[in-house]
Amino acid sequence: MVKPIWIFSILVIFCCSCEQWVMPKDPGTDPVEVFDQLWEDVYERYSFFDHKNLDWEQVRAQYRPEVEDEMGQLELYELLADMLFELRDGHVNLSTGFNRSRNWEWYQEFPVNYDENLIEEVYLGRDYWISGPLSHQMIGDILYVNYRSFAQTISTANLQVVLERARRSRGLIIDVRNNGGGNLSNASLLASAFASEETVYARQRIKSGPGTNDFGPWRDMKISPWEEGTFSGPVIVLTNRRSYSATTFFAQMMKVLPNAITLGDQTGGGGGTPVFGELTNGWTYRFSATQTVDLEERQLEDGVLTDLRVDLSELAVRRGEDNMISAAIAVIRQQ
Amino acid sequence: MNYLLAYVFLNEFVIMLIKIVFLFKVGLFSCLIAFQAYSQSSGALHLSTGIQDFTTRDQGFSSMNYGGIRTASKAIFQLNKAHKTELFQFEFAYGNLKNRIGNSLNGMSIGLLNHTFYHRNKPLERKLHWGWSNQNVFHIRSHNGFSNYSLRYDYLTAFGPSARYLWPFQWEEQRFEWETIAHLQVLGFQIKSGYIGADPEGFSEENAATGNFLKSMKPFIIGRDWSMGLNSSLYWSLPSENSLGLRYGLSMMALNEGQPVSRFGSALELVLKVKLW
Repeated sequence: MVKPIWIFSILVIFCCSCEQWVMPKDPGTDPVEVFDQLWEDVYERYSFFDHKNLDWEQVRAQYRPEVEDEMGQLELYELLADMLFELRDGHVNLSTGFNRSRNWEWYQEFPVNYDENLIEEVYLGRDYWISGPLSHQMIGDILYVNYRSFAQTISTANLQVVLERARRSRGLIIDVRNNGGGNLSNASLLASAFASEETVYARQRIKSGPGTNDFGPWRDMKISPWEEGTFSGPVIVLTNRRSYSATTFFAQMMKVLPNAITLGDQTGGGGGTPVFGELTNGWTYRFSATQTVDLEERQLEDGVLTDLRVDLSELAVRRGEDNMISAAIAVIRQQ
Repeated sequence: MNYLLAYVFLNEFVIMLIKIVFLFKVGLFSCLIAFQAYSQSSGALHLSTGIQDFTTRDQGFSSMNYGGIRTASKAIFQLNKAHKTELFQFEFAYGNLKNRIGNSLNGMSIGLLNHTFYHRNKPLERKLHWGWSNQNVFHIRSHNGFSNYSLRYDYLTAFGPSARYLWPFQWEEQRFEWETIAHLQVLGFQIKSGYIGADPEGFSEENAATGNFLKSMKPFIIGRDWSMGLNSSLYWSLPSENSLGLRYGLSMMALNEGQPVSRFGSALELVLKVKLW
């Protein structure tokens, strides 16, 4: 009979060698392997191939022959950045120590529709209120609020101040033009201050497998009334093409509220929540891994259309006027 | 009339007395049985702490391994009975792990591992004992470089065979004991983070907790999934009948349903074994 001590000796050796078996080795750092890591991860987790009618295998066939083992880091970066650019997605970046790739076509080819100097000089003036990230000023009997980044957190006190001033006014203008997004919770908080009841504003689904159409079920996205109080008067939300990501979500939240109107140009999009990844050569990247549609099944990735389409007029700017704000004031006064 | 009342009262009193005596006898008998069982068993508590060289990979985060040294602690209650020994092991480990490019995640493990070994009425002789084990372990990890979907976890409950080798020996007039315990999980269930996010596939905020739990469960099947461990301890018996020891443990796990997760750890711990009764 085999002695137990031998059985356990064999077991110990077996377990010690398990690490090689259980833990796969890290992929290599050669340009070809780095290219394959990135291409495969995008292939398996990116969420808009079908929506954008993009053949990622064809993209591989186009770019992979250009990868060579001898190529330098800069050449490899440029190749991978070009490949990712094909996704036409503002939520796609390749970050290296020396550069960050991006696709900003979602606003670069469209009217700016925003003049920051004009806002500061004419509308905010020198005595505007600063409540955290919210800058606000009375324009006659209407409160104008400017919010430049949803990455900046709104506190309860910040929002209470704005709501208190809004209640003493005839209406509210929330300017989120050039707001490139940030944290969705800030968008939800701000919108909740104008919701009188729980409201479904969109539906979202997340990738659930490597197939281009492998998604989990659609799930409702809702806003609920803010527990500290709400403002039920008229609200106009100003957007432009540089209103992106969390700002797109905010525009959609406001669009479904009965007391709110969106005005300006459509938002830039950014309806996919980005997932992150890393390459063995030390570079990191991100790309969209979800889809969000509005109540009419329109992808937020394509931007949220405004209720009232207005562009900033150069002529108005020259005479010191933001005609989009003027239009918003007129709408409030009509109500 | 008074005579009749006195008779009824006396009769009720006697019945009540009989009931009290009966209950006393039942209580006494139960205590005797319990004492008999207690006197035939012994209990011990093992407290250990140390370090663990740990490597993990979660394809949901990255195709790279994350490794590092974690702190690891265990508390084991050992119950020795006439023909079986039971071990109830609570384990905890936490640490910061890095990959080859310097990105990091924080990983924590909490587990309950139970062993039952069957043997003859001489548990302290040099012997191999066979039995079964039940592993329940929860791993959670938070990636420090990702802004979204930075949290992922998995949970496993499984059953499988277990073995223990005991070798008590003397050296320089001191008593020592070598103990090796191995387990291999065969069948059970697992709950893992989804393909992208932390919530498991099937999880929905609309469902009740029980519904979510059932929908998120996936089978753990040996061959596709693996979980095994091996711990070897050397104890030095103190005059107080307590023991001091050193334990080396290996553990490995591979959950290949959905996004594959694998991990391997080797731990070195100092052990204090306290005899309870």
